[in-house]
Amino acid sequence: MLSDPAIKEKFKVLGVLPKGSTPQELAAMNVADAALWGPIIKEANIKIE
Amino acid sequence: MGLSRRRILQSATAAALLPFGRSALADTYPSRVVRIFVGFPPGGGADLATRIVANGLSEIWRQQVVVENRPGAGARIALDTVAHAPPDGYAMLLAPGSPLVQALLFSTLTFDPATDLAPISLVGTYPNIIVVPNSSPFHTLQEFIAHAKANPGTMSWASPGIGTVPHLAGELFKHRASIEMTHVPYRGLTQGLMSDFIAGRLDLMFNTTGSLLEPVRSKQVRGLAVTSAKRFPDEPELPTVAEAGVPGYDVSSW
Repeated sequence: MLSDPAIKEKFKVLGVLPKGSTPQELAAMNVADAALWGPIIKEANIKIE
Repeated sequence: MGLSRRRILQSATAAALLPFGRSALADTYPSRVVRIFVGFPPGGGADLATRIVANGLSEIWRQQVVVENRPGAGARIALDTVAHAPPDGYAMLLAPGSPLVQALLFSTLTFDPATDLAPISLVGTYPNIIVVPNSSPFHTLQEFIAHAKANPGTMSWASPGIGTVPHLAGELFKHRASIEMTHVPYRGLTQGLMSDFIAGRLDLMFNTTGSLLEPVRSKQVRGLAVTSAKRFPDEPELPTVAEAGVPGYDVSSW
């Protein structure tokens, strides 16, 4: 679906570069994201009540 | 990843959990309406991305796919709803960024994002854009940084909500640029943020390309920089934050 030119064009309007992944790749990105933002969240004391 | 769990679709700061692992689902899946939850109000980038995915899936599946907006609380309401939904693939989430990051933001959670949500697929990636109102005296990010440094704590900056990637990107920017400014969180782009911003009540905004590309192109607001390490192909005149004086800065939402 993400390689469909019509879908790509729709995402382009939003400024999104469509890119799929396997569930495993997505899981790894989730972990990497948490590692990047953990220290910032702690330092800036960002809390959602 | 348990196929028996709820599904997240993740896209760039908006990844969705798509029903991969269809083998674990009933052969007839989807035999009824599928709902994709998104933690932002209609009209913003996350919402529009979700609608593209929903329409695409609906065509492939020949089944109705409905977008359910659950804005507020840093997208927690949407997360909560999907995490507690029956794990049958009929409740999906288009998550802006990692649910594990969300877990770091909430003091209490009623679910474990590592086990109660199952990743399906990335949907796309995009940077954030930093803008100022047209009435702003600042025409480059360097000018803004210099002023903010000389006048600590006097500048305000807006994001589409506490804990959103634009909020985190702004905090990282403050840290790396060594400036102090006051955060004003909104709920997505549509609930007063743009009107307040255009009226000049805020000094700076971090938000997604989905929310800000068009306002920048139509000159409703003035773009200063993109947060990714490379310039954005569709708006190449916008410098990166790194080019604008904050070396090594790179936030590309996914």
